[in-house]
Amino acid sequence: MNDVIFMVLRGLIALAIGLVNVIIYLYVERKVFADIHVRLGPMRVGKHGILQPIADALKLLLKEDIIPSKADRMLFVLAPVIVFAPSIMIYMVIPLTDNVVANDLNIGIFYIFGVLTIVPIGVLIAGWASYSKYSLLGGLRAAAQQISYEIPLLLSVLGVIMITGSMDLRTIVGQQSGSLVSIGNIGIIPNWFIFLQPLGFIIYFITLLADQFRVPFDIPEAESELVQGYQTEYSSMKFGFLQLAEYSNVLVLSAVGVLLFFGGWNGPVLPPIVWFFIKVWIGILVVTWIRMTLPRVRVDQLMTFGWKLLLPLTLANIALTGFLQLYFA
Amino acid sequence: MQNILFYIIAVIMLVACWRVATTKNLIHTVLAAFIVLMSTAAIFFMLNAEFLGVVQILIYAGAITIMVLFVVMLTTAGPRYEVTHDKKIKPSMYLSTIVVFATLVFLVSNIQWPMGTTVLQLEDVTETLATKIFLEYLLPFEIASILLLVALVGAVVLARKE
Repeated sequence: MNDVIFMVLRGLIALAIGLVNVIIYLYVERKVFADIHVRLGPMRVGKHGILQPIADALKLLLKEDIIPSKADRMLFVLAPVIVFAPSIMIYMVIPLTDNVVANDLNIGIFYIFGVLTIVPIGVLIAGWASYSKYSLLGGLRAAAQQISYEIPLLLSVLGVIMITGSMDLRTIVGQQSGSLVSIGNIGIIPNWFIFLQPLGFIIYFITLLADQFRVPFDIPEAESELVQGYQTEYSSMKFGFLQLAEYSNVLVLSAVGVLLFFGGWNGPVLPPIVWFFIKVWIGILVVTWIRMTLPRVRVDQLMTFGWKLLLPLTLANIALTGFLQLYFA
Repeated sequence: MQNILFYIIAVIMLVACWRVATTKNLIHTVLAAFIVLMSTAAIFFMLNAEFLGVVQILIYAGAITIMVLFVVMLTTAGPRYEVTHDKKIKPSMYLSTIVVFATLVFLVSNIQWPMGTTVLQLEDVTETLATKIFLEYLLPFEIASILLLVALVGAVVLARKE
């Protein structure tokens, strides 16, 4: 019985760490947007608006929860749960340092991408259950986009798995310690997989943006044509959950990117957990920065880009990695 | 603990199976099937077969459910569409039910079921599977993949005719 309680506790701690980071993300994103726009952003709630995300969450909780009269009630309620559940499931397997992890799965990376494939189902159901044209169109576009970009996302990671020969996230990070190029005892370039898999990382980053509907790939919720896409009919905390799920998944994918390509918690002087969070937050800041900078692509450009360019490139990357491994091994 | 979990999952799975057979709204049917597939994955996880569990989620619960959802949404007549059942029971239904049931009873009662289970001590399940598929059973694997490719090309050719 004791180990069951222990297991549940570890899960809850992982969940708490994840959600706290998501809340900070909401605040940071608004502040960075404001900075790029040369304005102040939220300033009223708490010092420098630091309590703004909590106020937002309270507002969402207290708002009237409207279910459209023609909507499919059961599925309408269920859809935000299906969208949000995968990111909670993923928190459980992400290691923060070598010995801080809720559940050490030896196929961690495979599990993460497997669970992520559940998200489009929830999105599609949300769009369908709302019984609204905008929602349905947004849902179909969103699901089509996520399916098309999940394939290059999964394949772009394969290069790293080929080099390490393991799908265990801790082993992958362990192999990135030390330095690639060093003068004497001082390392100049760290032994991160981004230097061995540059193409893999670029594709991973692009597909991360597309998979989570960040700008320039936020076509499913293109405001000018689809209002808010599959979220149009949602209000109150259900809308909150749909939004949280997107932020949460960006956080998760940023963490996975750090673990795979940027050496995870490896780094000098500072403790490992600090290094991990510094790197994850740099990733999130870059995503936010891009969101404020780029215009949106067209829906046909999106599909062409995904299937005709990214997919062949990932396959070429896998072939090249295999060839180099054979040649140098 | 393991037993309690198994029974909970089994009950969920059976209820979902029943819903698949009886629900009239097609989207609800697909979602019930999704629950069945996810509980199968949960049982794989309980049996320490994490790799198979994830494959189950990735391919069946993720990819195939999405494909079926797309097909249902793009072909049926609007969100209020419901399947209409023909209430009359035909003799052929009795016959097929009896044949399937008899076959199942015959098989279940005649197979020597292994009593108790032993946990296989594998170093790395993924590696073992890979060795089996890509070295030992390479030819059947490749033939299966060519078969799937043929089906894919065939589907494209059929769809492009019009």
